[in-house]
Amino acid sequence: MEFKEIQFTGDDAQRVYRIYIQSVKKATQQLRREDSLEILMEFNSHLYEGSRAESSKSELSNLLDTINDLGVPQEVLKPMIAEKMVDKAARSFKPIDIYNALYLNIGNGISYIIFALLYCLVCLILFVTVLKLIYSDFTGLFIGDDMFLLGTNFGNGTVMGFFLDGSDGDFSGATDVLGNWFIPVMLLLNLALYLMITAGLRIKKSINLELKKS
Amino acid sequence: MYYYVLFLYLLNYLIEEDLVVMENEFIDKWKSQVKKGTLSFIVLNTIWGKELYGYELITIIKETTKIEIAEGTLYPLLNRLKKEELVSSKWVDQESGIPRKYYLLTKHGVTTIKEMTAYWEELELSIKKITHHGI
Repeated sequence: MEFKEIQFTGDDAQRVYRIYIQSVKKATQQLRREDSLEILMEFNSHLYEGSRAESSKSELSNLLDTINDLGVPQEVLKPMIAEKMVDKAARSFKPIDIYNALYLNIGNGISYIIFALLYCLVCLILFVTVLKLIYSDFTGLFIGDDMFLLGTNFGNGTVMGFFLDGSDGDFSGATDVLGNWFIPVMLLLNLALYLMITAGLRIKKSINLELKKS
Repeated sequence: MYYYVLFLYLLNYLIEEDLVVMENEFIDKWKSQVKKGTLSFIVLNTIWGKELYGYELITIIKETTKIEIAEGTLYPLLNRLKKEELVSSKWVDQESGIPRKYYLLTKHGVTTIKEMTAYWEELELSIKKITHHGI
């Protein structure tokens, strides 16, 4: 199936139609090509039928009425785009798709908030990995008696990262267990977490669907 | 004294106006909730036993129910119903070159609409009992 532009006899109608079609394209540009095309074609079909509905009116008048009834694409398509973005993100595993999917769905249930927090955790681990490049002597995975620090220990009780502190911020007794392996281990951990969370997002979608069906 | 009575009269008028606005707001909100809650039931019923394309479906719903719907919102709803496998769709080429997307109920959709109708009838009966005789 291919998108075919509707031909209007009047220039004004053609211009109005093109502007509306552009706004549909813009509203759906984040989606997968086939999803975007499907929505575009469906709206196009609706515009075609609507613009020929009442023969007593001019084509421009019919078109404007149809556009008015359809509504602003960015608003009316929002729930559909939010849903389809999750599909796209779960398939592509691309961070930008995941960000868009979570941004559009954050108000659609507690599960999306949990997923957003889990991705924040991934970002924090990545941040700690970057810290290792800047403060290589002070950053690492420090483990000692009653203490745990994954991050940077600046001394004087100043730490940055994830920590469990049983000694009032004094990590001098803790040992850096990873040393130079810190960056590769953290990168691998990050990748594993990222893949697991995204797979979880995918599983959540299929569980939702199954629950709805049953 | 005259100004005092005028003030009271004005105050009373404003309170009554406010109450009418509040009552209308409540009814409008309630109507919108009912509409939102029944839209999928209406859509599934409309395509039960026939194949309809989007524009046709909307026209039938508007004509038969007199419900004012934002037409654009119906496509996300149809998409959701499709995702839940209650309806299926197919593109059909037209002479105009602009194809139509036809929607039809799936087997699962038919079972669901039957269940929904039974519940609706049950609900209607209960509401009638309440509205005709009070609780």
